[in-house]
Amino acid sequence: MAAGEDAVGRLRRGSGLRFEQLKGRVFEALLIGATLVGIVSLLVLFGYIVFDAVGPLAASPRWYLLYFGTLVTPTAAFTLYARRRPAVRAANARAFAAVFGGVVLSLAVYAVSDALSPYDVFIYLVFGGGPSVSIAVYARKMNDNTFAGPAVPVSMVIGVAVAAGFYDVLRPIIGTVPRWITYIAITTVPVAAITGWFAAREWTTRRGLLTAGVVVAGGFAVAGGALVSGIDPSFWVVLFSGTVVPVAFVVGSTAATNPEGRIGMLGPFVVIGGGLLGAVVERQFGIAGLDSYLTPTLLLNSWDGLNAANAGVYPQIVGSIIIVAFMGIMAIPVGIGAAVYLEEYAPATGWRGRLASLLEINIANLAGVPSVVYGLLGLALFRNTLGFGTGIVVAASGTLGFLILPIVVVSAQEAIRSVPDSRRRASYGMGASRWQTLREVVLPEAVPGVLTGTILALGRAIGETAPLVIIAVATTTYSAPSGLFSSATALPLQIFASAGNAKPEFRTGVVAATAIVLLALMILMNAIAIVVRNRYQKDD
Amino acid sequence: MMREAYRTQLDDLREEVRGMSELVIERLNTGLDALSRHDDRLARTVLHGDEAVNQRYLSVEELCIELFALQQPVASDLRLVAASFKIATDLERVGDLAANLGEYTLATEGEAFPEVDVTALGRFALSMLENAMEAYAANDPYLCREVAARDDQLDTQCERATEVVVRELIETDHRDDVGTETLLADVSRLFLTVRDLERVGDHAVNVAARTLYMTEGDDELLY
Amino acid sequence: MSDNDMNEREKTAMTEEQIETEDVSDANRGRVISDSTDEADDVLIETGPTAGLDDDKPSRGTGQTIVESRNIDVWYGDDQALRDVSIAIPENEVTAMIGPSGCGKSTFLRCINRMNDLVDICRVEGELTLGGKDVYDENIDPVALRRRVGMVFQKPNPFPKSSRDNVSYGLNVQGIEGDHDEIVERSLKQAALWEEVKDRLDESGLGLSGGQQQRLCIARAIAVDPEVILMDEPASALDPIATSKIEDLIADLAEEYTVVIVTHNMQQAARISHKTAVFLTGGELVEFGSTQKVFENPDSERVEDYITGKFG
Repeated sequence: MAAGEDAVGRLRRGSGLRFEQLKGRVFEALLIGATLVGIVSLLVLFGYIVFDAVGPLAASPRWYLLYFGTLVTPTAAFTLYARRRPAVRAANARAFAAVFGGVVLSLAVYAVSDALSPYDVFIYLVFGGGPSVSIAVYARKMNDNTFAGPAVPVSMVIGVAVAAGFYDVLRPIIGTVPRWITYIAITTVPVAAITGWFAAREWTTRRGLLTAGVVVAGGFAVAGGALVSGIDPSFWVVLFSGTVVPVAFVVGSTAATNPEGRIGMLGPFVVIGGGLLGAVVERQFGIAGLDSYLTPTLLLNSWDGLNAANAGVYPQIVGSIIIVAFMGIMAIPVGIGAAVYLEEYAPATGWRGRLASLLEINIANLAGVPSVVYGLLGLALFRNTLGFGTGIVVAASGTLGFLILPIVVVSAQEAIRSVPDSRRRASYGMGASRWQTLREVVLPEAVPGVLTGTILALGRAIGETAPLVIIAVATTTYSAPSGLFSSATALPLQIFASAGNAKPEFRTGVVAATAIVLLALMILMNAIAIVVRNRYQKDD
Repeated sequence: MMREAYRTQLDDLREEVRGMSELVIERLNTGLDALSRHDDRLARTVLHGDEAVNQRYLSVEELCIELFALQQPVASDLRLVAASFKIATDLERVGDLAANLGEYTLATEGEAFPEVDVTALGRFALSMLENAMEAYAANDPYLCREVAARDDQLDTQCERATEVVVRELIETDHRDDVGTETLLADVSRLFLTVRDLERVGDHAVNVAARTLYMTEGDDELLY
Repeated sequence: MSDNDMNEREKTAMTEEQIETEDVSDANRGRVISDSTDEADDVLIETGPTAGLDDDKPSRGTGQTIVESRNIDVWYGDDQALRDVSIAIPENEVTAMIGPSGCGKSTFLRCINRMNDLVDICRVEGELTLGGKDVYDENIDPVALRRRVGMVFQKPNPFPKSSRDNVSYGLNVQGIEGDHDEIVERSLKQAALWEEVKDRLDESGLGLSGGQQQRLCIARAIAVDPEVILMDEPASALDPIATSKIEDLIADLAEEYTVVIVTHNMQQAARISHKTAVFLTGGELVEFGSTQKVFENPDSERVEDYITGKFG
């Protein structure tokens, strides 16, 4: 009896135990608080920016009702419908990716090609890409990978060099062709090749060729239609190749492979249709809408420092994209190469080993150096030493390239290191050489990690301001850069500059809207990173 | 030292075999006493005590099988368990032979051939078994070989005993003294006794051979 | 009842084999002794390392030595992992290496195909021959060596590729000509995996169960038709059923290949190997001989203590 009570007494919560539990709860509450502080302050910040950018107070209640009816309700209903049906959800996701990815890609390609001149893009693409792609295809066909590894990049470099050498001869010849034909060559033809390849893999070679032919024919049809209606076909060709073809392909293949999820492909069209319908009704009935600065004007016009309603950041957007793209072309191969050397080749001992570990430590430290310092490096190197012009694309790309190089190296190193050693041993045990092991086992597995790290680094670069200020990139240019040596500006610089504008509508509205454009670009890049990572991880 | 429980089990096995051997030796002793003193009471004890030996035998066997199944002994441990398994069988047979001695005692009326010293033969065989068990307990290979060597001696003595009886049968005319039937029974009993004691020696040699295998992994005495 | 019968038959078979062994060893004794006299002096424990060289000739297989080491020393930096190991591994047999952790048995295994080269601080001295050629000769390319010596690792480590590509990996990197699909099928059949994967050859090898993955790795190793297959605790990460399958497979492989297997599981070594080498702490090869001898009556006191579990 007594022993029983004793046991019950011991099992009952003592005051000491209760105090322990209290401490635990308090700690948990503090952690939740810390998390909330972070999230809430971010939300407030974003809300503030959005509020400034779109002016929601100006819209009448009818406007809200209108869009609630045309956009929010159908989208919500569709989402609810798709929620419990995985097949529908999958189809929906693919359709969204195809439509919005296609639109964004088409716009970016058109903007960049238009700025750099499609003739130049065509020349470099043909000379750089043509031979290397043929070599890769030939190697694949012959099932012989012994030469493709070194030959592809070498032929690319040689091709670009040849193109640069003969540029003065080639450019006038190419220049006789209408612009829209070069667009067909640089967008429709590659897209046709890719879809044709997919079709050939799925069905037969004949069908693949047929598909490619249909795509090219479609490109010409679109161009012809535009010419007949008297508008410049260039943009429409790009939009057809970059958006219509992929969307059609995705819709077609999903309809064939995923019959029960077919309905899910309506998702993006529900959203787009709802938005369009709302806009038509709004205009038709003269409903007071938002007082928004986030308008097509902002995206398509060039800067107007006097009239906020007329100000656009098109040159800045294109500048940002070109600077970051060229930076990526320069910095990513170098960074990944360094990472591969440090992880796979550098010995652990000896003077080379010591050098490698010294390098590794320094690279890790460089990743934390403030960006202003990189600006000074860029200034010293590009302007003072190489004597480049002020604020040109090469200098900006180079400076940002130095900035992200350590980040690329470190993240690529992490990705390569995450490939289990057992895989390498298995490969060596099979009599594979180091290079074969790297190519067949390590790199394929490291690719998602390397890509994610790289794209995050690009996202970091696109938002950098300080180094560009230091190397004296212009805050405002009125046209997009036309080449690597023409001057350019970037979105964050424009934000920085117009934040000091005398007119309040600039300081609040335009700055906020531009910031949203910049954020959208970054979110887009991060989304690509996430998609890439998930896609590769699924394979495991 | 690792695998404590296993080592304890091996020690237990050894103890169990030794315990069994003590019991068997004691029974053999009693059997011999009964035989030499014509003590029917002792003889009955021996006859009825066989059950205890069988119990010990089964428990040794069980222990061995358990060790084989659960511990997978190897090397000297394997040899200990395997040898013990076989030695237990030999001991059990000696127990049976001891019971035979009791039986013979009960069936005997008087001394038929006093010149044959069955007790001495018995003591000799017994000492071989005792030595073999000593060797088992002490892992003594020399003693094993010695036991094996003494088997020839025992065999010779047994042969000689048989010879004595046969010779006497030929030389003496017994037809007058006792009934032919009784004589026949006495002679065959005596032969059986001698043969059983020789068997005890053989079993002792078997025990020694297994013990030698156990200690040295040497199967020279096994055939 | 039938079980008993089988055991009985097995026993008989074993005894016959044993007798055969002794016959062969007698026949060879004269030759072998003259062979090994020059080495016996260098060895600390007389009965140990040279045992493989001078008695217990193989009970099966060709009776030839395929891998032979003479006085191998291995250092990792300043730590000596193997001390003066001399051993002769017979062709077409299963040779097991057992010993406590850190005794150098895996190190020795990795010496045979020079996987130790991948460890910068590892240094190997002595002579190790494969089919009579010194594998540490300057002219020997470790990559070429590994094409003749396959390896299966402790943890199943298929590549994140399809089962087909896993098996044909070695064929591709070694540039072996021929009908790869046919070789893949044959290797998978040999590895007793064909029936389980023939309908999903193009699915990832990582989708297989642990035991299947390990058999896939074995198929991958034998696809390139090596002379020797090294196995580093191939069943230690598997459940008993999968382990049994791997063990059966090893027995089959010994028909065509020489198998050297490192295992922590002494019962496994006893079950599947013809010869057993016992390494003990300090990287010494203390005993090498027929498996039955080692597990029934080892020469060395230390081996005895180790295999009976008196120290570990």
